[in-house]
Amino acid sequence: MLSFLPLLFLVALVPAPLLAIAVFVVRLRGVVRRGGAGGVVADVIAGLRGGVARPVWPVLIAVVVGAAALALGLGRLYLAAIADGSRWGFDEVLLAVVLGIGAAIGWAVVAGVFAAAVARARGFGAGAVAGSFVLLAVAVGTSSALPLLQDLAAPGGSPAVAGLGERDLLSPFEVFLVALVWALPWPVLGAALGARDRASDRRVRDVWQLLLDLATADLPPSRSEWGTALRAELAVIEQPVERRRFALGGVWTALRAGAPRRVWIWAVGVAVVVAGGSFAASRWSLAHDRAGVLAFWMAVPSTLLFAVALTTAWHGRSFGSGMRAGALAGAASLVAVLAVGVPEAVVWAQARAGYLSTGDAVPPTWQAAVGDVLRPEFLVGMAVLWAMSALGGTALGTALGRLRVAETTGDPADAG
Amino acid sequence: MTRVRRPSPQTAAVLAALAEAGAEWSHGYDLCRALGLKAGTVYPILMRLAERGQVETRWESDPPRGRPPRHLYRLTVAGAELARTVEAPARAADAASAPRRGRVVPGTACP
Repeated sequence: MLSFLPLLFLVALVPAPLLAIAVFVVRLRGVVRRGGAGGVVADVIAGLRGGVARPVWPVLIAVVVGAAALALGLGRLYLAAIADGSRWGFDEVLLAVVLGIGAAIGWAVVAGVFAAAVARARGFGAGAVAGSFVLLAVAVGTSSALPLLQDLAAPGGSPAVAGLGERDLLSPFEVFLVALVWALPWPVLGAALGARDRASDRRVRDVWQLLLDLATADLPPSRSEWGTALRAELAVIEQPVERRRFALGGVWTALRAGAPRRVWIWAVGVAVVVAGGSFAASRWSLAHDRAGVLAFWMAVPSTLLFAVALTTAWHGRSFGSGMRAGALAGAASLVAVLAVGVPEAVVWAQARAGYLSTGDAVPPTWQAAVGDVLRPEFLVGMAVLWAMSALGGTALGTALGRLRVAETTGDPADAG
Repeated sequence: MTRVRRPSPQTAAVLAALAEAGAEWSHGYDLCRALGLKAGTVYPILMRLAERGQVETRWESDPPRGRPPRHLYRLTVAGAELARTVEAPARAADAASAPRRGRVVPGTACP
């Protein structure tokens, strides 16, 4: 596992913060060139004002309340589920930890989209501030629910869990709060994306226009004309019900139309490599008496998804294209992992009496060996790492693709 | 001999509506309303037909002030030929099972 850690670190954790810092520095340099230090102060003040002005602050309050209610509700469910020990044959606490990290990714996406929406209307600074405040609101809401959950877990303090290295029973929620740090770059990246497509001469009429604007803002060049066509049609529709129907149809069209045909080829290619690699890793580990292939499943598909998302986003200069390609390749990877993992788990159980995933346990039956491959905490853990890698690759590919166009056209606005 | 895949009922409806409009240009939203189909159905069909060269597109040249130009659609010669091919068997089919079809008034302003 240790040998794969640098690779995982590079593809899952590094790209987004580096890119956000680069975007921030470029923006800051532009402001300094235009207005000097005074310009920076004015921009910061404008960003703070725009980032909390109505309707943002009511949304932030709703996020605090919603996050607290969500943490409390999910916490009660979680405590009820683990009250009588393991009942489903897997580690519920570890699954909750992994789901917490996945939830942090979800909030990163929400904060990024919110930042993009605010940036479209009020500029990059306001968008970045608003998105960052969303994450802060989530952290505040979740933290406020923790004391109540501790009382529910065990009055006077939450008991320790041996499986988590004597950690607190509420570790999944603490891990979630730490994982929110990973989400920090996404408001900056979302704001950069939204500000680039800012239509300064158009006011946002209603939520349906905003929704369609966001869905069609980042289509690949071959589809962007259709996005403009959908937005132009919505502009002539007056009835609210008709606007809603048309906008939702348009969003669906944008989601379907944005996927270039080559994403299927990428997905099949990734599936073949993951399947072949899993088989080779399994047999090599078995022959050399090494640990299982879980580390391979975590790291290698992550790297492939990073590469696919980066290449597709770079080629199409589109965040949406990268994400669609990454999602499809991720689904294909999961199929490949299961297709190879299930029969190989039986081989391991017979040849070494060990689990394919970690290699260090003894399954009494082939059913237990297969069940180990299907453990939800492993599958969700893989999906979380894969999603982080695909998101990072997509952001980096989009930025590089737009930089390439900016260099070609000489228009710095293209660089976003 | 090349086998041509039969278009879906929705595609056939779009082709028929555009064929009915003839040389006049149609708007996407008007097609949605006239056919009783959602934008999520009509636009992917228009995209596909345009990619195959069966529908030609252009932008409104002189939109009213304050409104962006709309996208306009009409059949090409190849599209009209396809519409004729599709129309004949469709007439023979059960009318009740076909999508609600109406006349698209070219250039009609939307409500």
